[in-house]
Parts: sequence; C-alpha cells; structure tokens
Amino acid sequence: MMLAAINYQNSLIFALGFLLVSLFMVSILHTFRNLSGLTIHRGHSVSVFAGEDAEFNVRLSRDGVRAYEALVLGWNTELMQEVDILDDDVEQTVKLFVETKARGIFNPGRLLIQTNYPVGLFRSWSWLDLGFTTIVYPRPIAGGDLPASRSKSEEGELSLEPGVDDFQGLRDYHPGDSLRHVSWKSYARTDELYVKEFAANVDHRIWLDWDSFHGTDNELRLSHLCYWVMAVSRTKNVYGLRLPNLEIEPDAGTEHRDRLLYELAVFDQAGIA
Amino acid sequence: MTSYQIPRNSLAWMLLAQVAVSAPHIVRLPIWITLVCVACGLWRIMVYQGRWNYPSRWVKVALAIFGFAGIPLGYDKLTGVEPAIALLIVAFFLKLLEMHHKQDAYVVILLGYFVAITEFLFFQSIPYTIYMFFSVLLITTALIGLHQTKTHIQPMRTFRTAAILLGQALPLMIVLFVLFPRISPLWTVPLQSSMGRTGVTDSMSPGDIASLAQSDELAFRVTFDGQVPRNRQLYWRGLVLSEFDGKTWTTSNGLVQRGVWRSNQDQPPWVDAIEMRGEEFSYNIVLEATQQNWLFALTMPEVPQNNKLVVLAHYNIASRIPIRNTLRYQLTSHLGSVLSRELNDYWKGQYTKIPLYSNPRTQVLAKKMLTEASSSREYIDDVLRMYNQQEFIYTLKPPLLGRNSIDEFIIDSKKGFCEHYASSFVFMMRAAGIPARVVVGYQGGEYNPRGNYFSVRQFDAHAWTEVWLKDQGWVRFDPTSAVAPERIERGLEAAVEDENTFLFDSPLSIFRYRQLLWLTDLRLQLDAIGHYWDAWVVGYTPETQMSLLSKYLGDMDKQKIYFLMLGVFFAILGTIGVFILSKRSSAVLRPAEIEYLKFCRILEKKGYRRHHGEGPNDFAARVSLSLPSLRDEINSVTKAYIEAVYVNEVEADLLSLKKAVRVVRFKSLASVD
Repeated sequence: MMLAAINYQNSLIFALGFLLVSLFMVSILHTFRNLSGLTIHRGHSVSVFAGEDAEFNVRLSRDGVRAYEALVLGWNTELMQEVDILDDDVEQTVKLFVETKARGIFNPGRLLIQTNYPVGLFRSWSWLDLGFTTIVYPRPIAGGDLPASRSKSEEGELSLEPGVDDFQGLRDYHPGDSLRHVSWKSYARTDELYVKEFAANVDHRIWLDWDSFHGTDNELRLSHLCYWVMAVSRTKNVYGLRLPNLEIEPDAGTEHRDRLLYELAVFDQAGIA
Repeated sequence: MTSYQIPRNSLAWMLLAQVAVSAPHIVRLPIWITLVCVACGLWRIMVYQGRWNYPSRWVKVALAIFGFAGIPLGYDKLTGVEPAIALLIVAFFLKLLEMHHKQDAYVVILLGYFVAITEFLFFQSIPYTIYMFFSVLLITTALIGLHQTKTHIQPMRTFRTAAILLGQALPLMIVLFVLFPRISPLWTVPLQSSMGRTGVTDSMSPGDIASLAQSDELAFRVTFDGQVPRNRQLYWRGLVLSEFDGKTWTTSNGLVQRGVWRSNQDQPPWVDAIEMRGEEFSYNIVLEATQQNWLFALTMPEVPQNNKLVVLAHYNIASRIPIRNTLRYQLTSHLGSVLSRELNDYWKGQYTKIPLYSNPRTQVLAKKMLTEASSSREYIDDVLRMYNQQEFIYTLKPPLLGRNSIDEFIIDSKKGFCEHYASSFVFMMRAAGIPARVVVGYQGGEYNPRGNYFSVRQFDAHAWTEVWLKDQGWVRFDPTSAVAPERIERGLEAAVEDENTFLFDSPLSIFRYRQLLWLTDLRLQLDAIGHYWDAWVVGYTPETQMSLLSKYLGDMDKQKIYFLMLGVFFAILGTIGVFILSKRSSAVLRPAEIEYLKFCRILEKKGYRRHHGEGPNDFAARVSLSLPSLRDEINSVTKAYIEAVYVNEVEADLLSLKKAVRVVRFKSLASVD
C-alpha cells in the first residue's frame, strides 16, 4: 500500500494508508475498552458426575452505558462462549461447561476472558481467578448386587417404584420429600403440607456398604456406591452409607442423597477434610 | 469439514462494500469481468438466503477461467495498472464463493481496501475522495461485523462503530499526512496510456484543438505572486512542433532524444542561448495529471537546477517523469527573453523543412508574396495582413480538409480554428525560407477572484507560432490574433459568440451559463475549494512538505520532524484513549434532566446555587423567597420537571418544561437589564 503511494507519489493513497494505520491504532484502544470497566461475578455452579461437563455460571455486569461486544470467555480454548452486553442489558449470565474427568472437588482454574472486537487485529484478555469449585461425584457404574442390607427385603428384590398398594396415611412434610407425594388436596383444605405415605413391601433401611463390593478397586467401589445411591434415592427407602472411615445413618430426601454423594466424591482425597 | 459461517450482519455489509468500492472501476473493466463479478455476488446472496449451496469446484474453476481469461483479452498489454486492477477485482469477487474460514473473509476485506486505493490512481477530486471514504467506511463496517457475535442483529450499530473508529482515526491520519517524511518514488510504474485524458498531445492535425476546445476540463491553475500579466500575455507554452508531413505537425523525435532530457546532465547547452529579459512574473502552477511529460510555462522561465525539470531544445520545459498526479511547480518567467539569437545552418534547415510536393498552391503563393515584400519582416506582416483583410473566418466548426490541407484552407475555405492559422502561417514562413515552428499550449485563463488564481481549461487550448528572426531569436506570432483578436483578449467564448458554438457538444456544461451570475459565483467558489484541495492535498509532494514545514517550524532535520510527528500522534491517541475510557459516558441524562440543569444554570448565574442533595421543591421555595418576581415561573418549571420525570414520562410534559425554562431565561435576562 505504501509502495503504491510512494511510487505513484499519490497523496490520497498516502492519506488512505495513514487512515488505516490510524484506524488500527485507535482500535487498540477500543479493544482495550471492550474489556475494561467490566465486573465479573462468580455465579452458581452445578455438580456433576465425573465425565460429564460441569456447569459454571459467570455473571458479567457493567456500571456505565458503555456497551461490550463479542466478549469471549471460557476455560477451554475450543469451548469458548461469546456474549454481548448491549442496549438495556445491565448484566449477562454465561453458562460455561467444563469437562470433568475424576471425582473430587473440581476447580476449573483461572477463567480466560478475551475480546478481539472491533477489528480483530488485537486481542485484549485477562485471566481471572473467580474461585469456582464444584463437586464432581464418582461416575455411577451399575454393578454388583444391591449392597447387603441388614434387614431382608421380600423376595430379595428391591421395588424401585414406591409402593402403591397400601395408602398408609399422611405425615408432616420434610424438606426433601418428593413433591409428587404431597397431598395437594389436604394442602388446599388446611394450608399445611402433608405427604402421603404408602407402604411398600420393602424394608426401608438399606445400608450401602463399602465392604459389599469385594475384589474391586476403590474407585470402582465408589462408582458402584454412587450408582446405588442414585438408584435407591429414587425409591421410598431410607438408606445409609458405610465407608471405611465414616458411617452415615440411614435417611431419605435430596439433602441426604447429596450428603452421601459428597462423601463419595471426597472419599480418601488428600487435603480434604 | 466444519464450515465457517461468516456472521450474516458482516456479509451484508461486505457485499455492500464490494459494490461501492468496485462501482467506479466498472467503466474501465471489460464487460465479462463485470458479469463474473455480478454472478459471484448473486450466487453469494443465494447462499446467504440458504437457497443455493456454495458452487462446486468445477463451477468455481469455470468462473475463474472466465474472469481471468477476460483480462488478457480486454487489455492490449498486461503490464499496466489497469489489468492488475481487473485481476484484483476478479479475485475480490471470486473469493466470495470460497468463504470457509475466517481467513477467507479477511482476504476479502484486505482486497477491498486495495481496490479502494487503486481508485485514487484515476481520480483525486473532492467528491471522489468523499465517496471513497464512504466505501472505506463500509469495508470497515464489514470488518467489525466479522468480529461480532453471530447473533448480532443491529447492522446500524456496526456501521456506527465503524464511523466512530474512522472518525477518531481522522485526526491521527492528518498528523501522519502532514508530518510523515515523504520519499521519492523507488521505481517508476507504468499506467496504461489508454486512460489518457484530454489535453494537448505531441501532434497536431487540423481539427485537433477544435475538438479539445469542446472540453471544459481543467488543465491547470496558476497563482501569480504579486504582479499579474494581462490576458494577452498569457501564452502558456507547452509543446513545440517542428515536423510537418503535409497534414500533421509533430514534435521532432530526434530532438527529444538528442535533448538529453532523461540524462542527468544539469545544464543542456542550449540553455546558454537564453537571455532573460523583460517583465518578470513569479507564479505557481498546479497542473492536473496529464500522463505526459510536458509542462506549461510563460516564456521564458528560470528553471531550477534539479533532477525534476528539464529545458528541452525547443525551450519548452518538461518533467523527467510523466505527470501521473497533480503536480505543483513554481517558476519565474521573463516575458521579453531572447531565445537563441544565433541559429546554425543545421537548425535553419530543420526549421524550414517542408515536404517537397505538399500544398503546392500555398508554396506558389508564398513565393509570390516573398518577391513582393522587401524584407522578411515585411513578408511576415503581409501574411498576417492577408489573414486580417481577406475573408478569413475564425470558427470552431471548420470544414473537413483533404490531403493538401493548407491549400484548401488558405485558398478555398478560409474557415479555420487556431491550428489552421498556426499551421498555415508556419508553412508560409518555411515556404519562404524563414525558420518557423508551431507552439501548442494554452492561451488565457479565467481569473477566480475567490482564490486569486487563473484557471486554464481545455477550451483555452491554443496553437500559435514562433518565427526565428535574426538578432531577435524566436519571436512569437499569433496569426489567430490577426483574424480574431477577441480570442486573445477575452477568450474563446467571446471569439465564437456569433456562431454560438462554444461547448456546443456539452449543453449541460456550467460554463455555458456564465450569464447567470449566481451560478458563476457558485462555480468560482467551488473551483476555489478544488484549487486548495489540489494544491495542498493532492499536490502535497515531498517538496511541498519541506517548504511548508520549514515555513512554520523553521529549519528542522528529518529526525526532529519524525519525533514531532510521533509526539503529536501519541498525544492525540492518548486524548482519544482518555476520552473513550473515561466513565464520563456513564451519566446519561434524560431530556427533562437536561432542561432542568439549564434552568439551574440560569439561576446559578443570578447567584442561587442548588445545594447538593437539595430537591427541586426545596430549591424552588428557597429561590422564590429571594426572587419573588420569578416565583411563578420557577414554580411552573419545577412542577413541569417533576411531572416529566416522576409522574409520567410523556412528550407533552417535556414540551411544557422546555417552554417554562425558556420563559425563565427570558425573564431573568430582562430583569438584568
């Protein structure tokens, strides 16, 4: 371009060349601007089983009217998310997914946020440590029998469906009870939440026991236990967990289930209490 | 293969930019290249709409062959700029059909900027520059669109961003333009001569200048320093034609070659034969691009000793390189200079040479008139008197002449334009053994009081003669002035007033409407702007740069200029940075708030400042106590403001607020007086 300008001694080609040079210089500022003044918040994260993609929410907010375009963020350079904050948006939430490999407490590391808007010649970027962690549960692997429970179940088989044969009555609602079992009729009448109790031909107390999976390595045992936690939690049964260093009394509900999953996730991991 | 999808927003802008940037080139492109380009564009639109797929490889090959083959077929030679531009444009459009990666899109954008640049090789006027700036804006918009998210659906926003970027780049560009050290050309590059512009050429046949006179295109503009010559002194010498074949005058090739005008010899020997004399005029010429070497000057300029200009053996001057861009040069002429008091036999022979059997009747006439005259000076006067007293007519529409054109003109038709008179006069001289030659150039010019300069246009093209007289050297004779003195005094329009042929072929030319004074005034105004553009922007050469910088900055070496440039450049860049990064923009005021702040400012001038955190009602109450004369108005502003901001944001409230603020302003001003 400059050669053309010089050889033809063409002032206007010079001018256009200078204009482009200036444009690129100005665009450095704009690329920088497109990242500066942005506030980035850590949003909630969602726990997953090992091998799945963990979800992290990042909230981007601006304090002025300055618009942000084509912000790219993520941990993995191939799985980056693009986002704009324009017009009336005050903030935007971006869901980011990171592939997990092993159970435990997962920290995706520092988040990369970058932009090469507007002209693509320059990139401004930042590595952010937002302190994201999430719990990665062991990968559930079907296997083994139902861990031996201390009490016998009829025909040695677990009924996965809640018992439907005998309606036993109502009891008070506890957080974690399935909403499917809430007696909405009673609720309409009394404004109190009651849960319908059914009797199934199942023993309610199941122990998921570390020792019931002989001859498998630790990780596989955890995977089997994880599978059974998920399986049993879908039933009406109360269940407990026995690990070499820990015993959790049988109970039911999602809080209980998550507690158990957590213990499976962090079992025997150095540095984690 | 994962196919890259160019953002739709960007693609739309890209197509628009391509059309805009290539449009001016279309007139110069062979038709099939245009067709290939249109086909590519349409195909891409179909792909964009999802109706068609990208073309298969064979279709692409076929289009490419068709497009590229068109180039050698459409141009005589492949070395010029025009085939290169055609190649660029074909590639520019073909690339549209092969956009599988982001890099492909970058290539299109880059080619777009290049095509934009090539346009300036042909046109450099203000309207073109504005148009090309707009095209560059479109290309930049497409470039920005490439980096936006795919879901971006606000094309005008992209355009606005591009405009802001370019707007901020403009001051930086101006700094670089003015201060960046310019370099002389590294090598010369040919521009296809087919794009020749109108202007005097190195040959002259009957009718040539008459057809040139149909054009109102600008040839050059002249600014005189101080004294200005009279119109009849304005003979702008261009080329000297000394070879005659019976019909056409040409410049003598031998002379040009022997004229060492390409050599670096500083002082050609014939320069010693110039005696600078007479009235002295200094002037500055801004010459439009001619693609040729000739320069125009009054007789006889002092030519600065440099490697740019050279004095040819005919005492006309030329540039060593063809004038491809507007050229600015400064000369000082001595109007009464004596050129070549001595003429040796060789040159005498050259300047009296006529083809032996051409125009026999004129030769006879010349011999007869020579025997009747007592001296060669008297013979010259007799010939001029012949033009003046016989039925010669000066016309833009002379009859067509045959092989012995001079016979037919002098003896039969007696109707001709300046080239007929000049040609026949020189022939008569040579037939009588008097050395003579034809000079072509321009005569006169229009004075523009707005810019204090003369515009010389193609219709000012003129041909006259020079006769060598012993002890006087080359003396100018203009036979046209013997026939139509008004041509020399008042220009062509006045000379052909009666036959009404001035710019006959261009009925819309603004020059045909000189009697409309406002229009003439407007034209002169615009022309003056164009003059400054040509002189200071288009004609901003290394020399202009050095003289401008040394005028305002004193003597500076290149290094200092370089530092100055960088300093100013980064100062401006920093200012822009502070401007765009400041949070100033975060406070957005609603229209009603702006109005209320105006109101507060009015009261502040009267000494009532609203305290921090003081509400509008409290403020109004406080001020009303001290300014009872304005109480009603203050209350109505406050009420309207509260209505507009807090109650219901409707247009009507805003209007009543504006009105109330105006009343306060009026009253407060009135009460001061």
